[in-house]
Amino acid sequence: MAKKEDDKGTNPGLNTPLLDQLEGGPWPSFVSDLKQWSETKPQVAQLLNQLEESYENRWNYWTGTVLNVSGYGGGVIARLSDKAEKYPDLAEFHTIRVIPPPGFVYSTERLRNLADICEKHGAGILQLHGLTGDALALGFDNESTFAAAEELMANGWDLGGSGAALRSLQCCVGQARCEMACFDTMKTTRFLTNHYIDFLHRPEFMYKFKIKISGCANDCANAMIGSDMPIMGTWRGPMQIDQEKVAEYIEEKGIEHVIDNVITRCPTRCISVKGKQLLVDDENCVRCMHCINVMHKALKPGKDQGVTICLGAKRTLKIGDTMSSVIVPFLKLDSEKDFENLTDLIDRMWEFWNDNGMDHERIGEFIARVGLGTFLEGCGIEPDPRMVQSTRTSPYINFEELAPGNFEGERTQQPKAWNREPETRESTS
Amino acid sequence: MSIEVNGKVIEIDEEGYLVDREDWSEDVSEAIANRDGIDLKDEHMGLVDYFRDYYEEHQVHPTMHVLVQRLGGKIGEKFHEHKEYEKFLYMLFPTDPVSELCKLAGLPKPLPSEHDG
Repeated sequence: MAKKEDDKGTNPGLNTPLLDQLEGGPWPSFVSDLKQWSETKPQVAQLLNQLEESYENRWNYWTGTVLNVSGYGGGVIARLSDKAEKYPDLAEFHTIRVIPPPGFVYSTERLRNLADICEKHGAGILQLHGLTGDALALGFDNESTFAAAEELMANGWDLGGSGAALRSLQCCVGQARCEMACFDTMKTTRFLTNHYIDFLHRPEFMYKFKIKISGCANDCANAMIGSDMPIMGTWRGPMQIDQEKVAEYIEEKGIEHVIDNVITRCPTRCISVKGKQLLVDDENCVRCMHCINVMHKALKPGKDQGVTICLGAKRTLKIGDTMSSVIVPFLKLDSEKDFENLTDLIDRMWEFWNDNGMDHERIGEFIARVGLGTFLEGCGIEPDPRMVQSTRTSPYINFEELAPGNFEGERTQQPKAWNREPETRESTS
Repeated sequence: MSIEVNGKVIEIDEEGYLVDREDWSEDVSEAIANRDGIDLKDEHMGLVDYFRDYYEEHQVHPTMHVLVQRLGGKIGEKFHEHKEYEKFLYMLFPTDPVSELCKLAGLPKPLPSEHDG
């Protein structure tokens, strides 16, 4: 929306010198939008005023509370304002999470429908989309939350996950709009949402669990850093190379361009150029997608496509931020049987995590605590050398259990640390 | 706000939680349940007793996780089938089983869980 200079300060109740600074610059500003909107909705003016006060005092005036729509254990993020005497319309200012369609692809009609419902009952502010992957509708009080939820459900929307539940799934557009996608992300999202809808609506876990689904390693859904269980598209076997298109590309851009932008940027140095042909050592390819992104006409992901399932990304809580690491290197995801395998795997992992996890422990922290070996054993997954968190920095390996014994046969001397008996103190009595 | 039980006036907050937890008795539970439109049966009261015992032992109310884990136990072959017990709880207390049970058992109101991110 273009910024209109005359909109500034049209609402006499607004006094926001600090927020006004966010209107400067060529980019669109949420302050301008909300100021314009505050003429229709008085609570938005109060919202801006409270935010201004927050900026001034460097203090947050929201308090969380619990509010649930009947039959649901989550989906409403209830917030009360501490400044309710000053801003009466903010006394209850709840947010409703709505499950978006897979890939965030709306028809304009549906989006208008969503906007109308939110405007009718709440402050009419939509946040598309939060990092949880929900469409967030802001500004409902207790009664209007229930009314809005009823109307949303009547119109075919559903509330998303919140609290210690499975959160709304999120995916990239996948095969619907993208040539890189290695599997049908939207179908997978829809399938998993429907299959686990109870886990989404009724929190029961230790802590949240997020699944995000990306069609390829370009990871447009931010799965690898932003979800407990990223499902990433990948392929096995050789990638597809169209040598004619390679030759065309080299003629057009020059061989130096290919060397500088493709060959030298391959992380495993598995690609080389010979004349006007590309040679790929597929065994060493790590499917990073870089060469395919640069030469997208000539190169394509391989034909035998499937998914890699990773586990464990999270932000800081019990341990520091982590990224996901591989738990299933390759899984086909085409037939119904494959989807059954996927849900079976998720079931086993949830069961082990849920039975043994501690309060507020996400699955990545759980694995860090009990160890990957224990986790794999508990879930019945075979260990695989590809399950690495990071590559090793030291080439020396100390295999205690594999070390040869002394020449006599038995090992006579154990390392001191191993040999030491735990100290026991005898009681004096 | 207050309710009258057996001729005694008992203070509750606007959502129905007891102000003084010492006031609790089964009749008080019933009065609060009536207020929320719940018809108390043996299943309800069993859970209320479990909540009170658990709170006495742990000084914290049971979470949904504890209920499903300990009371529900293992149902069916697959993990997602154990949701049946939670469905049963939601059948008894459609709004929010844990908060409602805390209310009926005279425990403090549950704190909001982390909704962020």
